[in-house]
Amino acid sequence: MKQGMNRAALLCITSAILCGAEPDALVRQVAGYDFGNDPAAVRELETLTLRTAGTKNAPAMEKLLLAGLGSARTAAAKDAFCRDLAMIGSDSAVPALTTMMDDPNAVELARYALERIPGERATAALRGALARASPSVQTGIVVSLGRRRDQASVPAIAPMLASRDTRMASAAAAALGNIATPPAREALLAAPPAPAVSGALLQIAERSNPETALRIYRRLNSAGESHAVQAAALGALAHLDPGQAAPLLHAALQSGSVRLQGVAVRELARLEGVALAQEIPRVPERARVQIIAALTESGRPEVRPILVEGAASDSQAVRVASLNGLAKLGTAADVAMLAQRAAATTGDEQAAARAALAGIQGSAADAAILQALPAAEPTTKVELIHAAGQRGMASATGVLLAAAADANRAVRLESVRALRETAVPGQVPALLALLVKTSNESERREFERTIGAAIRRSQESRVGEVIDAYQAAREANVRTALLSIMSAVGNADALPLIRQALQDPGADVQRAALNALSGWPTPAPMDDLLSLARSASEPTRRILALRGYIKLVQIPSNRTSAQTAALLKTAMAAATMPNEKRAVLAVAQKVVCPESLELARSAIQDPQVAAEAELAATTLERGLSFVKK
Amino acid sequence: MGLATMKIFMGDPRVQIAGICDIDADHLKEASAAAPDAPTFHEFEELLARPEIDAVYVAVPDHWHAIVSVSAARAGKDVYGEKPLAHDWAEGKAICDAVQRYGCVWQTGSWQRSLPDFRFACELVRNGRIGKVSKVEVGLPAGSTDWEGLGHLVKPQTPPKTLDWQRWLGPAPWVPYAPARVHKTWRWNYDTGGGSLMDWVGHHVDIAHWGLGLDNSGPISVEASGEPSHHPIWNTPPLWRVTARYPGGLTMYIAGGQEDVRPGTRWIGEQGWVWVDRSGIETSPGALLSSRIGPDEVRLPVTESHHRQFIDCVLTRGQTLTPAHVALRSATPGFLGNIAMRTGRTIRWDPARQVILDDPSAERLLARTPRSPWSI
Repeated sequence: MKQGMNRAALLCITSAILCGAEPDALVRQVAGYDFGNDPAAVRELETLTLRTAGTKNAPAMEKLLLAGLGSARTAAAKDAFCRDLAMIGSDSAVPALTTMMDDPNAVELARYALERIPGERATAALRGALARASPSVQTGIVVSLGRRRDQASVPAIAPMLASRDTRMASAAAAALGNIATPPAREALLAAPPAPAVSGALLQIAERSNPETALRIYRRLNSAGESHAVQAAALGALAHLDPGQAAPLLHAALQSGSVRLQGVAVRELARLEGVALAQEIPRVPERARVQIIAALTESGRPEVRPILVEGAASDSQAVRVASLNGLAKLGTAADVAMLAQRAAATTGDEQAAARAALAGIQGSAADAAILQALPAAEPTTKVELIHAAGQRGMASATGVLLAAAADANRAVRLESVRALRETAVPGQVPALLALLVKTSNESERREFERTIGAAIRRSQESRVGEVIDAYQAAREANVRTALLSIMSAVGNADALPLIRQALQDPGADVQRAALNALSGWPTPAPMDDLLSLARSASEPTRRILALRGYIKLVQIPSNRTSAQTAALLKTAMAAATMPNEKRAVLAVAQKVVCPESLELARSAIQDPQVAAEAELAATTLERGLSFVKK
Repeated sequence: MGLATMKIFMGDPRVQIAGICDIDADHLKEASAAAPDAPTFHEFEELLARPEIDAVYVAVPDHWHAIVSVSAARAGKDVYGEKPLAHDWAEGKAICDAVQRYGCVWQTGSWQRSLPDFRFACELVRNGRIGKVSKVEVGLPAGSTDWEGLGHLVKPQTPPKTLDWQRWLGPAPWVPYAPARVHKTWRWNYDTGGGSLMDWVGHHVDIAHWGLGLDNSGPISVEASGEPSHHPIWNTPPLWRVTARYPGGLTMYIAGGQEDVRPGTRWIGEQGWVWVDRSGIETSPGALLSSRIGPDEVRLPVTESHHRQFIDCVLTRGQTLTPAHVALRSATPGFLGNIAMRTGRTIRWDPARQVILDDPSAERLLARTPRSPWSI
C-alpha cells in the first residue's frame, strides 16, 4: 500500500517533468540495459533522479531505484542504478549497496554510490567492507573512507602505510591526511618516509594548531625530504616562526634547488623587504633574478634604485629581470636610459626595455618621452616614438606628424606606425597629404593602415576626406591606396565611388576596387559582388568577385542559418569552377541546417565536386542528428 | 593543444623537452617525432619521477587533470595546465590546494589573456569606458562536434593495441571502449568532460571575469537549460544556456551554439558595449576603439606570449597571468551551470566560501568518486 502511494506521488512529478514518462517502465527498461544499447531510458531515469533529489519525492524515487538495482540483469544496469543512487541515495540504500561490496564484480559500482551518500550508515558500510575486502579492492575503499574523513577507520588504515603495494600505501597516507586526527597524524609521523606520507603531513599541518604544525614542518624541512616538500615546510615555518626560519631561508638562498631558492626569496622579501637586495652579490645568478622579481612584486618605490643598478649588471638575465621590474616601478627619470637601452640591444633585453618604456605609469613619463624626442639620435628617437605609440600618447600626435616627414626613413616609418595608435579623425587631412606625397610603396601601405585606424576612431567613421582625396588624385598607386582605406573603414558612403572605380580604365584601380569590395568589413556589398560574379566579362574578375561574395557570407550577421544557406545556394549557382564550388561547400558544412544539407546533397550530382559534397552532406547529417532533433 | 603547444614551448630557447608521456602509442610516436631526443613514457608517474624535469605541460582529458597535476605539484614540478582547470569543482579545488601547498608555478591554458585585443577590451571595461556593467553575454560553440568523424562508432569494441584503455579511463567509471568516446570527443560525455560549456569556459568566461575584476569572486546563483543529446555516448547538451547572477546586479548569459548570442564576450554597460573574440574587437560607440588607456589608469599585465610568460615565472618564481585559483573562479560558472542544467534547479552559490547553499543534493555533483585505485 505504502509503495503504491509513493509510486503515485512519483508519477505525479514525473508527468510534470518528463511529460508523462512512466518511472516504473523506465526502471524496467534500465534493468535490462547493456552497453552499446540505446541509453535513452538510462538518461531519462538519471534526469528524473536528479530532478527528484532533494524533494519530498526523493524517498519514493530511491525505492524505485533500489528495486531496479535488485532486478538488474547486466553490469551496465547495475552501474546505471548505482550512479543514480550516488545522487539520491540515503541510509535506505546502504543495505543493498553493502551486499554488493562483497561482490568483486560489483564492489566498484557500490563504492561509487556509497562514497557520495551522506551519513554514518554509508561510512560504516565502507568501513565494514574494508575489513572483509581482498587487497585488490581495499585501496579504493581506503580512498573513499579518507574522502569521508572517517576517524573510526584510522586503526584499520594506519597499518596499510607499511604495505608493499605502493598504491595502497599512498592511498592510506592520503586518507590519513584527509582524516587529520591526532591518531592519524601520529601514524603518519611514525611511518617510513615517502612522498605520500610527507604530502599527508603537510595537509594535516595546515589544519593544526601552531605548535603541532611547527613540529610537522620542522620534521619535513630536512634533507631526507624532496625539495618540493622541504620548500613547502620552509615557507610555512617562515610564517609560523620567522625568527627561527630566517637563517634557514638565508641558507636556502645558496641552495642548488630553484624551488628552495624561490621560497627563500619570497619569504625573505616579505620579512626583510629591500634589505634582501644585500644578498644579490652573494647568491647565484638564478637567485639574483628571483630576488629582483620578488622585490619588484613588492611594489615598493625604494626598490627602483636596485633595479636601475641591476639594469647595468654583467649578467644578461639580471639586466632583463631589472628592466622588467622598471616596467612596474620605473619613473620618468628612467625614460632616457630605457630608450637608449632599447636602441642598443636586441632580443629579450630590447623587448624588456621597450616593455618598460611602454609600462611606466604616470603622465610624467609621457612628458619625459616628449622632451627627449627632439634631441635624440635617430635610433633612440625610433624607440621613443615606438613608446609614444605603445602608450597611446595623444599628446605626442603633433610631434609624430612632424616626424612622419623626417629625413630618416626609420624615424618616418615608426612615426606613421605610432600615429596608428594616437591619431584621430582631425589628423586625417594631414596624413592624407603625407600619403599622397610619399613615393615609397611600403610607407604608403603604413599610411593606409594609420589613416584607416584614425578614421575608425570617430563614431561615424566619415570617409568624405578620403573620397575627396581620391577624386583629386591622378596617380593610380595613390588611388589604389585610398580604395584600400575605404574598404578598411567600411563606410557605405564610399560604395558609389568604388562602383565607379570598377569601371576605371586602369586595371590596377579596377582590381583595387574589386579587392575593396571583397575585403569589406560588413556584408553590405554582397549584391555588387554577386552581380560581378555573374556578369563580369573577364573570367578572373568573375572568380575574384565570387570569392569575395563567399567571404562576406561568412561575416557574422543577424541572418538565420537558413538565410545563410540560401545565399550559399546563390553562390553555388554562380560558380563555374570547382575551387569556388568547393569553397561554397566548405562554408555550407559549417552552417548546420536542413537547407545546407539540401545544398550539399544537390551538389553530389556535380562530378566536379561530388566527393566534397558527399563529405559535407555526411558532416551536416551528423551535425543535425547530434545537435537538433 | 597537445603537440601544437609542445611545439610552441620548443620554440623557446630556454626550454628543452626532457620527456614525453602518452598512453596512446600512436600519439606518443607522433610527439616523439617532434622531439626525438626526449625519452618517452607510458605512465606519467615515471615521467614525474625524473629529477631533471622542472615543469610539465599537462594536456590530458579533463578527467585526468587533477590526478596528473596534483602529482606534478607534489613531485616539485611547475605546471602549464590546459583549461578547464579540472573535471569537477572538487578536483579543481584540490589542484589549487596542491599548487599553494608546494609553491608550484601554475599557468592555465587560458591564453586569450595574453592577446592584445582581449587585454584592451578588458581595460576598456575596467576603466569604466562603458559605465557600470550590468550584463555580459558570452557566446560559445555548440557541443557534439565530431571532429574526426568517429562519432558514429558507438558500439563497444576491443580497444586498439596502441591504446591503454584502463589507464585512459583512469578515475572515470568503467565503460567499454568505443572510438566515439576517446580522442577529442571525450568532451561530450560527463564522465570525462563537461560539454562545450566546460571546453570553452576557460576562454570566454575567463575573459568576462578578467574584464570585471572577478578573479576572486563568482556568481551567487546559476540557472541553466540544455537540449538533450540523442547521441548514444555523448550525453552533454549540444545546445544550452546558462544565466549566472553576480553580486551588484550583474548578470552573465552564457550560451552554447545559440544564434542570438554572438561568439565571444560582450560586456554591456550603461554607456555602451565592448565585444571581443579571436577575430577582433568591436565597441559601441565605435570611437571607444580609439580610446587609449591613460598612464594613471588600470593597465592589465602585458604578456607577449602566454607560454613564454610561464617559463619566465618558472625561472623567477613570479606570478603567472592565469594561476590555478583564478582558473577555478573562471570555471565555476561552468561547473555550476552543468549542475543547474542536470538538476533543473537554480543553484545558489556563496562565492566567498565557495559552497552551494541549501541544496545538498546538488552539492553531491561538485565531486565524484574516483575509480579504484585512483585518488587525488
